[in-house]
Amino acid sequence: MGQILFLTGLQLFGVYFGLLFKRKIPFVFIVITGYLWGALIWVVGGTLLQILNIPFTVPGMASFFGLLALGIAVLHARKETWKSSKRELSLIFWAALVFVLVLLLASHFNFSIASPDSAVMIATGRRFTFEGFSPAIIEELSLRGVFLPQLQSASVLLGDDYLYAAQPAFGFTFLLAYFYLSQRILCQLGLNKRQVLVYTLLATLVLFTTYFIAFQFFYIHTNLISAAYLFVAVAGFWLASVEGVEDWLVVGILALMGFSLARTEAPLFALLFLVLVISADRVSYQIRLKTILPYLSSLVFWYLYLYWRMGEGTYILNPERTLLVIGSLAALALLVLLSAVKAIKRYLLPHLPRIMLGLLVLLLIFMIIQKTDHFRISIYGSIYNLLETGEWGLTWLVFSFLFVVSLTGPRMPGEELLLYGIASFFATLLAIVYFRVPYHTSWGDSANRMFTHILPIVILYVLMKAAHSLSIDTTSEEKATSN
Amino acid sequence: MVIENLKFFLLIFLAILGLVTLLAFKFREKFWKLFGSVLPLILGALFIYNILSYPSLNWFVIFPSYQGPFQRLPSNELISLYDVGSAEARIGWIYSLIEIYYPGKTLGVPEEVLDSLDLSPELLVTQGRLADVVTLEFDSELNDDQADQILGMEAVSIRLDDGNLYHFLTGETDPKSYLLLLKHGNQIFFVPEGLLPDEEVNL
Repeated sequence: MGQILFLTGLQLFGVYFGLLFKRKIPFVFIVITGYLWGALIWVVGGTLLQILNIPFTVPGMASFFGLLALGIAVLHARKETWKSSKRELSLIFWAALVFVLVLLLASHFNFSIASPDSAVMIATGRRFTFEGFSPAIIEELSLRGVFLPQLQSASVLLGDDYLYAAQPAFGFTFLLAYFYLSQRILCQLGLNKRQVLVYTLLATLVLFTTYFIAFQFFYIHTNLISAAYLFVAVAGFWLASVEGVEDWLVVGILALMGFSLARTEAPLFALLFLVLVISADRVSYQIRLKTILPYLSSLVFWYLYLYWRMGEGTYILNPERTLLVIGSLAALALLVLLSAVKAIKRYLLPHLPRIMLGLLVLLLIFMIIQKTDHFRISIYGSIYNLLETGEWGLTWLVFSFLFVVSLTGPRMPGEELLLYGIASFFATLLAIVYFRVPYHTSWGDSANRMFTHILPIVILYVLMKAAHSLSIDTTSEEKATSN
Repeated sequence: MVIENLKFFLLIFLAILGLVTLLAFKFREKFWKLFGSVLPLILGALFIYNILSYPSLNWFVIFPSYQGPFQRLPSNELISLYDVGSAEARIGWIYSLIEIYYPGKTLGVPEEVLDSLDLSPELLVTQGRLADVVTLEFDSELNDDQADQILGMEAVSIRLDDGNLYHFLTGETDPKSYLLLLKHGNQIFFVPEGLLPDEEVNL
C-alpha cells in the first residue's frame, strides 16, 4: 500500500509542479504526465541529497519536497496559477483515481521481469540509503545511470523489497502522453478531428502492442523510461517551434533531463536534438538561455561530480569519456550563447543539421575503416534484432519501410527536428559501439533496447508525413471548391 | 517471422522499397493521397498482427536456461522476482536478500564453507548489511533428518546459477544471535541461531 501511495504522491506532486505552466500548456497534458515530473523531482532531489552528504532518509526527502512545495506555492501565487476550476479539480481527481487503479492492478498482478542489470539497479538503489554515494555506488552509476536506482531507492524508505509498480506506471503514463501529444501534433498539421483520432488511436495501439514495448511495461530497466522522456521532449520541442509557445520548450527540456539521467550515454543523444532546436531558431534567444543553459550546466555539474569521484571508471564511462561528455555539453552551451551572433545565425544555424549529420557519418566511416569486423558484427546484429531476434514483430520492418517512403513526401513544418533527429540517433547509436563490445543478436542487446527510444518518434514522423500530405490535399480541394 | 537468409531478405526488401519510392516520385499527388488513406489500414493490420502473434512471440530466451513468457509472480518480494521473473539468478544477488532478511546480524560460518560458495565477506557486510562475518568452528553439514526438520520451518528459497538451492529461514529471533550458514548437499541454509532446535548444531 505504501508503494501505491508513494507513486500516486509523485504523480500528484508532478501535477502540482506542472500547473505552473497551465496558462500555456494544456491542462490535460499536465495531469496525464504528472508522474513523469514527480519521478524526475524525486530522482533529482535524492541525487542532490546524496551529493551534499545529507542522509537519504524519510525526513531528508520530506524536507526536500516540503521546501520545494513551498517554493512552487510562491510561484503559483505570483503567477496566479493556483486557481483551479471545478472541472480542473475533478480532472485531477479522476486522473489520480485511474492512476491508483493501474498501480493496484500492477501490485496485484505483479508480472515484473528482471535481468542481471535490473538486479544490480535494484540493489544499487537499496544501497543508496545505507552507504550514500560510496565509491562502489559511483562505479555502478557510471555504468547504468542514476535515474532507476534513485527511484528504486524509495523501496527501502517504504519498507518494500523493490518498486514493482513503478515500471507499469511509466508505461501507462507514456501511453497516455503518446496518444495525447500525437493528437495535438496531427491537429497542428491541419487534419480533421476524426482523422486525427483514427490515426493516433491506431498508432498508439500498434506501438503499445508491439511485444517488446509491452514487455518493457514489466521489465525493470531504463529503456521505456528513456523512451517516454525522449518522446515528450521531442514532441515538446516541435510544439514549441510550431505553436510558438515557449513553455513547450521548458516541458521539452525537463523531459530531456529525465532522459539524460536515465542512462550514462544519453546526454550525447540529447545533444543531437538540442542542436536541432537551436538550429531551428524558432524560440527567442532569452528563452533559449533560460532553459537550455540550466539544463546543460546541471548535467556538466553531475558529470564533473562523477569525474571527480569515479577513479578509474568503468568500461562504459571512464575519466576520458566523461571529459568528452562534459566537453560536448560545454560546446553546446557555447553555441547557445553565440546563437544570437548575426554571422552564426545566418551562416551556421540553418546548415547545422546537415553539418551535424555529415560529421557523424564521416566519423562513422572512419570508425568502420578502423574496426571493420567490429562494425560488421554490430550492424548485422542490429538489423537481425530489428527484424527477428529483437522481439519487435513486424513493427520495425513496416516502419523502417514507411519511414524511408515518407522521406519523399511533401515537407512539413519542423520536419528537420524529427528527420535529422532520427538519422543522427541511428548514426550515434552505431558510432558508440566503437568504444565497446559489438552489438549482438538478442533482445537484451543494448542497441536493441535503445531502439525503444526512437521507435515512438519514427512512428510519429510517419504519421505526421501522412497527415501533412492529406491536409495539403484537403486544403487544395477546399480552395478549388471555393474558387 | 523466421528469416533464414538475411541478405536475400534485405535484397527483396530494398527492391520493393526502391519501387515504392520510385512510384512516390512519379505519382506525387496521387501517391500521397493514397498513402494517407492506406496508412490507417496498414496500422490496423499491424495491430491485428501484434495481437494474433502475441503467444508465439511470447517465448524467448534471455539466457540458455531461461525461457521467459510473462508470469505473474507469486509474491511482491524480491526473491520472487529473482526466482520466477528473471534469468538465472546469480550468486551476487544473494547480498540484497541477506540485506532484506537479516540486517544487522552477525554471520557465523566455517571458513571452508564460505570459500566454497564464492561469497565475499566484505560484500556481505557492505551490501548485505550484516554487522560482521565471523569464522566459527562447527560442523555445518546437516544430515537428512536435520535438513528435513529445517525445511519444515518458515522459509523462502531460490536456486542460483551455481546450482545450489538457497533457503532463507525467517522468523523472530534475538537480534544479537548469530546467523548461521549450514549445508546439506547442494542446499544452503541461512538460519538465525534462535530458530534452531538445540541439538541441531553444536557451536
